[in-house]
Amino acid sequence: MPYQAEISRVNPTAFLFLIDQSGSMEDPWAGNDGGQSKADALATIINRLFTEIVIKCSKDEGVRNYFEIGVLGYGDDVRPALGSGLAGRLFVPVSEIADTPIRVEDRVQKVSDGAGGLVDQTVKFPVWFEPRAKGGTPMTEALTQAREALDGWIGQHPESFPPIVFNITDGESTDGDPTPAADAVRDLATTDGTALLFTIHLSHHRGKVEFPDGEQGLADDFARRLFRMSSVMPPHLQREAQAEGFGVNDQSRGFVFNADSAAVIQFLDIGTRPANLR
Amino acid sequence: MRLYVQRFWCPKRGSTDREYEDAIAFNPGTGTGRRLAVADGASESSFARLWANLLVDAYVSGDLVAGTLTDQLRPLQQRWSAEVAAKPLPWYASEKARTGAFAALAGLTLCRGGIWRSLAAGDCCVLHVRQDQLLTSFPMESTAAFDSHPRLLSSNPDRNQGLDQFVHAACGRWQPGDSFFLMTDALAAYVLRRAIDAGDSVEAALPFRRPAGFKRWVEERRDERSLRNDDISLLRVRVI
Repeated sequence: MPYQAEISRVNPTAFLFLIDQSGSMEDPWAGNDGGQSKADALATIINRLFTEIVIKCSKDEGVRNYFEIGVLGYGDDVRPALGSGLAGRLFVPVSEIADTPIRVEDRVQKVSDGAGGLVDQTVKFPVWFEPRAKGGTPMTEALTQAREALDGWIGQHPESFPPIVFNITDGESTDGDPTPAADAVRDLATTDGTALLFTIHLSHHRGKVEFPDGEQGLADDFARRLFRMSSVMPPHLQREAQAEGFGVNDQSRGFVFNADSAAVIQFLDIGTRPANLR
Repeated sequence: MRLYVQRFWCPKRGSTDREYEDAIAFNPGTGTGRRLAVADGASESSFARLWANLLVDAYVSGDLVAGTLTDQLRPLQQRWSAEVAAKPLPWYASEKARTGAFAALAGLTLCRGGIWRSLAAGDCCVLHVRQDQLLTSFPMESTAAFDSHPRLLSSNPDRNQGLDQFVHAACGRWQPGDSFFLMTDALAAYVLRRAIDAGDSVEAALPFRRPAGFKRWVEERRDERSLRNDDISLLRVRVI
């Protein structure tokens, strides 16, 4: 049975985020609080997700390296997108992520006052990833570089839970059909199964589609292509999505189309839940 | 009443002894009864070993009783918070500690006069065996019960809402010659599979007598994937 491997410090798994940094990411993400651009809002989501992953791996003695995390940005070029002390590196153990933010901001968030109301509370907000929006959408090149990097990672971790790639984009590829490059990513495998490629399409349009199990109901060729590029969800993620109220089945794919920010947060939360952490 | 008590434990594979997050305690004392307890600190939380130890120590001291547990946990929660707050922690460890630690607990009190009482929260188990017959498995009565995610006791009072709904109590009668087994969930799931599903005796399912044999046996079961890779704790008690 694939996707059963324990995720441990000896056999970590990897999350690779492919982030669209094209010029259109500067546009507002309608429906988002404060009218932030997609790039700004997505950076906040990614940084918050990293914070959650670091806290999840934190134990009495420090942070356990259950995960190695990478971010590849694609816009005016394709490059590793973590900043400052991690600049230029792709897969970084989570303990190094924890100790190497670019900076730690103080941000205000609303929390319960215990009496049914909300009060402002200042929280620490580490930043590893900065927003950027420039150039086209070289998705094919990003997937090609991802495949090369993942091939090397799998060579070092042949028995690990397979890496999960999250491709987050607001538009169509500008460097050709990315389908063959996506197929090549999904063809990579550890002894526990093939690499997983999940796709998040950002939009403010109506017609959000989450975890579809077929092409029917998808509006156009673009959506259908992204669907075909995305992996079927492994059983533990099907269960996690079901627990969140999604009507998924064993053909549902890790794909959300026309996602608002809440949908992106929920998708990444579900997609990064480990099956078997030890 | 005299008890012969054996204690076995080992951390999950890939972890060190220092990273073992279960806890075991029993009181050798006299008084009205003998108390024994195991707790399983949840790996998802931090400083879970400290919390598990506070729980078993409080149980065997007679400080935890079903029905008044919310009040009785308060001093333990304060002690957990004070010990964690005294440590210099980086930002992520402070954030995690704010959530609190979680643990499953199973306690057994053998009273003079032949009565036993048990208290449990989560999936630690107490098994009562007489002449190779499994009389009681508490609180988990079947292997299927381990597929759910039971509520655990938390060091954070806000996380113990509805405590009375997930803390269970049981009682029964013991006789000289009876055996009791207190164990954490991975071992309990294995033993119940052997005892209930396959019809073996509990003693046959646990065919070791010494710690070295126990550790060898655990490794073999993990290799064959019949025992989940988790911290393992067992108290084997024979009433003489």
